[in-house]
Amino acid sequence: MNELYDEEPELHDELLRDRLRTYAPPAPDRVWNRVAARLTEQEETRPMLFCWIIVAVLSLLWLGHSAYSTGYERQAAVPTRQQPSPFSTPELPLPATPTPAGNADFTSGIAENSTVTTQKPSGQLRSKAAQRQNFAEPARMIDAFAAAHNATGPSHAEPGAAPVDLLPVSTPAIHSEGNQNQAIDRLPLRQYTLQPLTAGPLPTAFPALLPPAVPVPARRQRGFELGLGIGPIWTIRNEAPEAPAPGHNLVFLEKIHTSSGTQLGISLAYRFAKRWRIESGLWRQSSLQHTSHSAQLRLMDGVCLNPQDPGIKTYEFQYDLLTTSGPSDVTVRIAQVDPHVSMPADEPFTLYMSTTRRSVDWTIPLTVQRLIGNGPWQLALRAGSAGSMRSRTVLSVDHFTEQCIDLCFASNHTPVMEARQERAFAVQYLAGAGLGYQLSPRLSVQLEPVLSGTLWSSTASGRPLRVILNAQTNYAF
Amino acid sequence: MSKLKNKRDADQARGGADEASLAAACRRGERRAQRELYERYKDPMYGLCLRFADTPEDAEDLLQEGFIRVFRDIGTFRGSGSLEGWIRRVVLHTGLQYIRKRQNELPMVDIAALEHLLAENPIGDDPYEPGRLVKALQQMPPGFRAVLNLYVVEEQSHEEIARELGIAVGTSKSQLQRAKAFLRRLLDKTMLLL
Repeated sequence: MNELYDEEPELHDELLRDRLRTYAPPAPDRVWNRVAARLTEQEETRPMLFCWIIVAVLSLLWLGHSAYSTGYERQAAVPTRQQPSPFSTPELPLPATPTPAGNADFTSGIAENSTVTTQKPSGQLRSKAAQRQNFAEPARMIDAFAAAHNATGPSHAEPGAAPVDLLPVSTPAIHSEGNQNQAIDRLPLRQYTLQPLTAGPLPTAFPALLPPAVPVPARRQRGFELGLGIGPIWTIRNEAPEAPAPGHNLVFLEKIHTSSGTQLGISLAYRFAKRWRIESGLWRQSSLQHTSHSAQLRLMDGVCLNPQDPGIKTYEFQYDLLTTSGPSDVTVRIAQVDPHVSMPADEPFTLYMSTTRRSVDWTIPLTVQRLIGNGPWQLALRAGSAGSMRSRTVLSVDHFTEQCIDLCFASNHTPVMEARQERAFAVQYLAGAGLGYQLSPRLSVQLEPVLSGTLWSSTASGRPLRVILNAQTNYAF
Repeated sequence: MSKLKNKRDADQARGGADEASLAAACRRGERRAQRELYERYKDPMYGLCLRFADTPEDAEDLLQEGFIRVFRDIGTFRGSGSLEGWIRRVVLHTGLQYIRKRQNELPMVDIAALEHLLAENPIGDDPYEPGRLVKALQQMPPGFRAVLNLYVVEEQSHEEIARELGIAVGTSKSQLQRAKAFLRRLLDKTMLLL
């Protein structure tokens, strides 16, 4: 093989090509099963995703509606003392037309004077008794309702009973002379006297259908609230790296793998109306970002720190590292393990590094919150802005590798990386929608996803977008 | 009866479907056509995956991922070239993505696997035996493996390789020389000292 390679390298390449290109070992059968399973999964996932979205939207709508309507019903159910109406009309004289004594006469009058006939779907005419029954039924229901609630009046079950203690209620317009509608003319003027209303729950026709009454802690209408919040942060869109600074000829290219973090903060809110809060505070947002870098290096671009040393040589390279918070100066120090292997100074090689960046931001939010619902559950909508300052960044190299065997970096020797970063300031917008629960008159909890986007930043050109799932406890004082 | 009908249909599909109709059937999501396509090209694609992967298990994953992409993107195949060439490109790109991911990890040479490989293939055998070559390739650092595969086997130019891998042309050339030297030494048992 060596001889062939030395004498005819092209033939060597051709042999390699022929052997490798036609190499087709039998693929294991299990691979197709996995492919088919993935394809089926993808086909099933797509409609399921839509279903989940629809279910989520409907659930949110239902939740919002329930919270709102429950609060509304409870507000309506608060007992109030009703005053006698100042608009009670005086009792008017009965019309000259003799009023039928009872319901039976009334319905028979209708039947006699009306030309309307009703017909069953089968074509059979309804009997007069059935028609009377149909007309009498609503009136009986009204009577039953009135009797159950202390109103007195003529009972349709007892035709001809005289009205007693009637509150004058009349409809004079329909008793004008010359009115041709005999049916309306003959409507019995029924008058009721209602007992003075007393405080108490309103009657309900279907009590079993209403949700059981839950005691709602009285919420303070105005005042200050102190909150303590915590929650995870996910970065949806990272900041775009900036162009390298002039004078730096070596640049790392950065790929961001994951970026997440946590938020811990206190808040001070003032409830200036029943449903409105204005809130500020201080949040500490720590984020963790895993990135990978690649750089084209040459030894001539670095500085050998120990050129006279016959042993291991150490090189130091100065870079402009493109980060998510603007460019920063980075020093990478790499040791060459094998001192006997020489490498041309202008020979480029590629260095790959995976790094972890830990940063801490301090944020001061200023938001307005609108609360919806009167029950213990409340929807909360938030909007506002925040100013943030990046206080600290720690960069560490997790592992590295290089495509250069002659330089022979030890695989267990991690390059030293030091990053100096400027302070970064940013202005963000905040928008959130969450759910709160009133535990007691003073204590409430709240879970709220908050979307945070950058409006302006002192360093980076990108516009990162983050979601914070804030769980907060508020104490009113 | 229905089984017989299905079998007859499958036989017809297997025997008669040309590339265009097979691609069209795959585009419609017909599982039978997808199976037919897979059966036709699985072996050469598995060989390709083995050349890019570190292990046979990784090669199986690559083959699976490659065919998933083939079925997902088959709508973009217009029939201007051969279907096999198009599938090969898709699987090749899957392999390159794998290499890019692996480049961020430490180059590890599994000495035990290498000894086992050499024990299985004693000196005196054909040094260009494909199985042995593939196993030697799998022992190489991912960057070397990618450049050697693309230049020697896929016959790409250094400019194309540099574009594919995001490296300089000079780097591609130097990587190729080193990769060949690495392979030589590996096949001649000299790389055990690594």
